[in-house]
Amino acid sequence: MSKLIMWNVITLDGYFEGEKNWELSFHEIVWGPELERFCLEQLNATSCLVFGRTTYEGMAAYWKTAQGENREIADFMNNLPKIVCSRTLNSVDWNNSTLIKENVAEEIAKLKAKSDKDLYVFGSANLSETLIKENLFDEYRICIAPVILGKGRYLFPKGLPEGKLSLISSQALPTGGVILKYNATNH
Amino acid sequence: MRKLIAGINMTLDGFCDHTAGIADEELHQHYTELLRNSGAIIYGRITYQLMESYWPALVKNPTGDKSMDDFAVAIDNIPKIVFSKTLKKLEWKSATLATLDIKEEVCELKENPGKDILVGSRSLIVALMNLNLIDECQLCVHPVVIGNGLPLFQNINDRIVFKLLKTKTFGSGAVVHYYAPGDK
Repeated sequence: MSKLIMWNVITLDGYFEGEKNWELSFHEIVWGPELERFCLEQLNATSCLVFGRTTYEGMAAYWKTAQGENREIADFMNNLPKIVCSRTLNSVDWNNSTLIKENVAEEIAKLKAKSDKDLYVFGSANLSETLIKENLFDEYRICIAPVILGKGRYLFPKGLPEGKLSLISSQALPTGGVILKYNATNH
Repeated sequence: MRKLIAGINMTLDGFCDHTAGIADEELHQHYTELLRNSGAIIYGRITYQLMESYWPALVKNPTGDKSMDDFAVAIDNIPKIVFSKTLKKLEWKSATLATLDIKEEVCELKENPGKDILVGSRSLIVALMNLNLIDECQLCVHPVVIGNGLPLFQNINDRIVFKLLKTKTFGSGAVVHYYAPGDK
């Protein structure tokens, strides 16, 4: 059975984006050949991407028209199967996307059972909050960027129940990011 | 000139409550070594009182747990400088009250000869980061999410970018990130 994995880059003060949606300039601090390689390996090992509405719409707009450097990543993003969890969307038009309007937990469980590669969630803070609370993540991959932003949106929302994680590995990037992989332990 | 090193524990979701991390043998040994290699540690009132309420007693009555007892001795020995507007007298022999404001006191400490200076209080770390006086930050990220508590990096005025020096991983899954100030 495959895993549901969260992947995010966060600041030292716990933000996955700045105050406004898509304020992600701090990603540039950690970006480089090693992180690119990591991302490509990850995408290569992905059966399906799972998104909430906001991240989906932003990603779709960006990757459909992406030019230049990140060609390989763009190809993965445009071609991989994508699941969008949203009650408010009525249709999704990014290549290879499926809309799930309800029973998210069940649908994800079904996908895990039939995939041999893992499912990934990028961004999608609101959806992730639900997935965290329902213990659906099997693994958390967090890249801690060496920056304190001061203001932004928290990746881990306040009020979460206490949880211990089990460190799988820690990888320091030459750019100063540290990629921490954890297994969720309450499974 | 002496370095000012900030050393503090943090949960993955950014809280620094002292009970939040995994305080095992390895962690105690790590901090004992840090204390032994340092010339002084500066505290705010809250952390000072927290430390004072627990560790001196262990020096008198050791627990038998070597890592805890060694830490107790190390923290008892290291000269402590406490910033407080309300405390008038300190009971702990190795502790003194700061007389100047934080910027002046820290600058003076740095100019005196000696081993590096530690700062372990959240409020002072934030204040000193805003003053650009911290030379190294050793942040121990624990593999726990606690949902609520005292956020570590709050009220930081400007964006701060660090340079990662190295990391150190413990058996518990806690990872120490060693940072120096970077370019903006």
